[in-house]
Amino acid sequence: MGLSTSHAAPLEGKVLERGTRTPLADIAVYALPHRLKTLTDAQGRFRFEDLPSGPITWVVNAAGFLKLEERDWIADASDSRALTSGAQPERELFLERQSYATYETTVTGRADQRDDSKRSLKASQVKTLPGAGGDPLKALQNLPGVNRPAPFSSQVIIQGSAPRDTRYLINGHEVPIIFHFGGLSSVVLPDALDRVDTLTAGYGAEYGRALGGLVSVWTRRPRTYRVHGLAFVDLINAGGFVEGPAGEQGRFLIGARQSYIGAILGAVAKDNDAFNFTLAPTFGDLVGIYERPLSQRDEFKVVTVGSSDTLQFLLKQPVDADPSIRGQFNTSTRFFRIIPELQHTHSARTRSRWSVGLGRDWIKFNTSENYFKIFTWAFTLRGEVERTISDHWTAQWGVDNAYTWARVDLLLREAFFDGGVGNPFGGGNLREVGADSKQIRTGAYWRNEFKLSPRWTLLPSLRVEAIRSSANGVREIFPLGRVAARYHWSDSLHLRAATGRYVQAPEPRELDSTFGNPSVRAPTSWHGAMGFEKDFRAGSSRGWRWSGGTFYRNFQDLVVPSSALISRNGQIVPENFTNGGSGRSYGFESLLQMDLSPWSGWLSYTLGRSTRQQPGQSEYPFQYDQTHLLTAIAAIELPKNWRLSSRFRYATGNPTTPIVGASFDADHDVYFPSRGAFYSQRLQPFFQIDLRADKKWIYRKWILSAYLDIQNVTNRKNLEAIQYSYNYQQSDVVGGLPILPTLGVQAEF
Amino acid sequence: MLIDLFSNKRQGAFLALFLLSGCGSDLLDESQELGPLRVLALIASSPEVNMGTASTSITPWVSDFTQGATRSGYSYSWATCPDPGIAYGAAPQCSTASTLESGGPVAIAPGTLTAGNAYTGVATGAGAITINIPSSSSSFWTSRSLIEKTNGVALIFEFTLTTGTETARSFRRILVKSAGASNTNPLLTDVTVDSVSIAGATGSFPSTEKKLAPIIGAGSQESYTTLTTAGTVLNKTETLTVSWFTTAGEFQFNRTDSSSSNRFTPPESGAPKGLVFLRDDRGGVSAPITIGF
Repeated sequence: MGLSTSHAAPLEGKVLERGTRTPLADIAVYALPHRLKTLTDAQGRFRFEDLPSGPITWVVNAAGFLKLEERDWIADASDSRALTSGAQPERELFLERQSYATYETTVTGRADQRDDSKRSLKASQVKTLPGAGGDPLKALQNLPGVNRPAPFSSQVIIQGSAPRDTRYLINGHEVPIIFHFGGLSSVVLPDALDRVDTLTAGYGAEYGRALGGLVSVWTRRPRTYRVHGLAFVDLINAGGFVEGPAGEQGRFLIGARQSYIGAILGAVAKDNDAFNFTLAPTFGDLVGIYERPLSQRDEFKVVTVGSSDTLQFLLKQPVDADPSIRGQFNTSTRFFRIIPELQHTHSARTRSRWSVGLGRDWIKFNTSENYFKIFTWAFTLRGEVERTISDHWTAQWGVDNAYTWARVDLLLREAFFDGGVGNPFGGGNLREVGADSKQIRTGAYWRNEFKLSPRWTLLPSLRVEAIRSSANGVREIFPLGRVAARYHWSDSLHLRAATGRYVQAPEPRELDSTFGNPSVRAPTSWHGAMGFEKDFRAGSSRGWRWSGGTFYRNFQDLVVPSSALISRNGQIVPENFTNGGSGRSYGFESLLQMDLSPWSGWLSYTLGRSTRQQPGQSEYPFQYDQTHLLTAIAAIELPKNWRLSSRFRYATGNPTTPIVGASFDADHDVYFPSRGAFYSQRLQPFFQIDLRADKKWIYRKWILSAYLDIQNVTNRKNLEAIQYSYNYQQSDVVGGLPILPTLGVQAEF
Repeated sequence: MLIDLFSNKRQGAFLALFLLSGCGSDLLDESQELGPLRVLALIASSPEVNMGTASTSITPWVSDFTQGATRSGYSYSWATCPDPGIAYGAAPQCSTASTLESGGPVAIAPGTLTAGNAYTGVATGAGAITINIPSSSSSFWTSRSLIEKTNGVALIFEFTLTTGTETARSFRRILVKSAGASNTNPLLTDVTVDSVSIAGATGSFPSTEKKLAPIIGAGSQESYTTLTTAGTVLNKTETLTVSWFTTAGEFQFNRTDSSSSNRFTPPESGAPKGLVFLRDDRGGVSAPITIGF
């Protein structure tokens, strides 16, 4: 093979990332030994006009990629057999990244975002966190200020608030659930997400109706450079998505997931004497995204989300602790939302964004005798106009409304539950409701951002909330002032403070004349927060960052259970609920992030206190009062695309209410517990170590990934609850999950 | 609350609950074990009465198998009062102010609870406690809704069994209705071992692992109507539950549906004694079948 002196036809090619086939722009491509060089364009394309025929070596040496040296043969222009329509066949050069690890210790800081109370987790970055099962929503537990929920819980508890005080949003629109059954997985495919935001104490006026905070999930933009796909399978579920261009300007993503955890549980429970599954628990979800510009000023997007959870099982005999629980149980929760959104740029200084959420919720539960069905139409509206009024003043005006129309049909034996202790259902009364219910919750806000000086920014805002329910026909209107301030001490140190008032609508059942009390009103809370963010990296991507702060909340008019009988309309009726509760939560939180490649990690710590008061009880620790919350995560990237990571978690044990006696209900052969001082005892502290190993195999046009995630690797028996004997005279502890390995495989092209 | 339990945000707790229901701790006593001081049943001659009925009587079945031999004596006391709202969370106790009628403490007659009956029997001996039903003009009845009066206003009967420093508290409801057919106690006529009457065979527990089945008397499972809180009439049929008790050995289930049998594993030695009660879900309780007594 000698070196030719003749010249070839023009040659075009592309430089792509190996595995993902992402086009790489501004990459220098050398053709040796001719010492010819060209740069790739934005689409990763390159072109040599006058390349000599004969053997050459492609050399590409780009930052962040392994050096490419690839031998090739350039056909002579006269060699028609080697040419395609007279041109050189297109070349594809694949560069392998030095690391395909997506793990970084990135929690978006407060300094550069609109709401200082917000912490964002980039979905792609936290997907491989140990113990999170690849789910960015489950990774929220690692953040400071997020309390550890009960096992199998599908709740996010923010800074000592109640689980019900957290609202869940997808692209700004409320959804009934954010996690599937038992908190196993979130309802949106993790690979379709851009980020997950948590809004905590002092959150801004554009959101409301949550005393604790919000968890807001945002879908990502589909990629357009080619059709891209991903499929995964693990011990719980399998799924995947396809994304790519749609027409000349559009882009789309369609994804779905289906679980088979039920089949596993069903097999485990098959030989159990007490119960079996007639239809295993199953969950699934789907997501669709379509985006396209309508004009230079208008951007349109529509997101569709659907979720389904079902479970059927049979208790072969009455449950020991409560014989009224028996027989066939069927439960299902389904919902969908269609969320179209339009962004319009009115001028260089004014833009607006409008979106609606349309959907239905189906929540059904029934036994052989009892049933509980709620079918809801939901319509939510968000709109905001933002105007830069001057170089020092930016304002936003917006609405945040929710309308729900529900049909409620239920026939249930309901039992009293207070202090974390429930009375037996057998002693409860059978209640029936068949009614249409309408909830209207409207919010309007005016938010301002004044840059008072290069260092000071003041953010005063006002939100007006109107809450109306057809259950009691009462409209409540709340003017809610909120103000925040930022101080840029230096380029690397930012300080913040925020305060405001918040309100939350009572749950519909609390207003129901049968199950609740039409006199109940909306509870409120006052938030105060201060914090800082220090970046030690001095412009580098490597180094340390530290953020933290204090928070304080004061809760008023909390809705609490009541066992009193009252006179209403001349008749003796149960009060069921009152606004007699109050409480406070306060604490300090800190997040230290490290990125010292190949090592990375974070250390999250919260020191907190949360208490409540209600009639008949002196101030007591709240059910989720966890004094210390500590999470340490460390990861190391190893050669050949291996990554090892570990998580250590410590949490103060949850308070529990002691049982000080019991009385035998001879009608139902069951015991009624007598509660001691609420939450005056505690479970032992929780701690757990999780390990995870990730490995990627990079092929030219696709990537194969596998992971092994081992939760509770030391098999520690954490005490999660107290279990009592039938007469409450003896007790034993209920352990948490034992060592739990999970294996998963993913392929993407 | 049940609504919470099965609502979307509480399904995790629900999952935990039913998983736990099948994974009870081995360290905890089971309700089938006749061991500590306890009340087993409060059997009313009429679990439901119509307004105007003068009285009903209560037969308390009690047990103190484990420590009965060491007791110096027992006493009981009782009281009646309007339901303070037990279903809505009120403590199942009659306060001094609300008590309509009371009795005791009454010493349980010597020889009532003995080693021969495993310290298990009727606390009142051959008799029963008679309680008076309040009149329609009393505050017990006035101010009640039509739904309550139709379904029954609950009169609470509180029964307390005491020995030394130990106390066993219990209660039951007597439903007082405005009119209509009243609930009657179900009837447990026999228990069979492999289809042979236990009374007709040995009268004792089998010496090897066997299935025991309850024989339910005709008409025990009654149909009735109830007025719902929405004001509609609901036709219902009672759910019958069998409660099994033993001094030794082990039943597979503590309670079973009336149509189910229950497997009994005898102890390695000794002759256990046991009782079987049948309950409907409206306060009706059968007289027990006793085994090995």
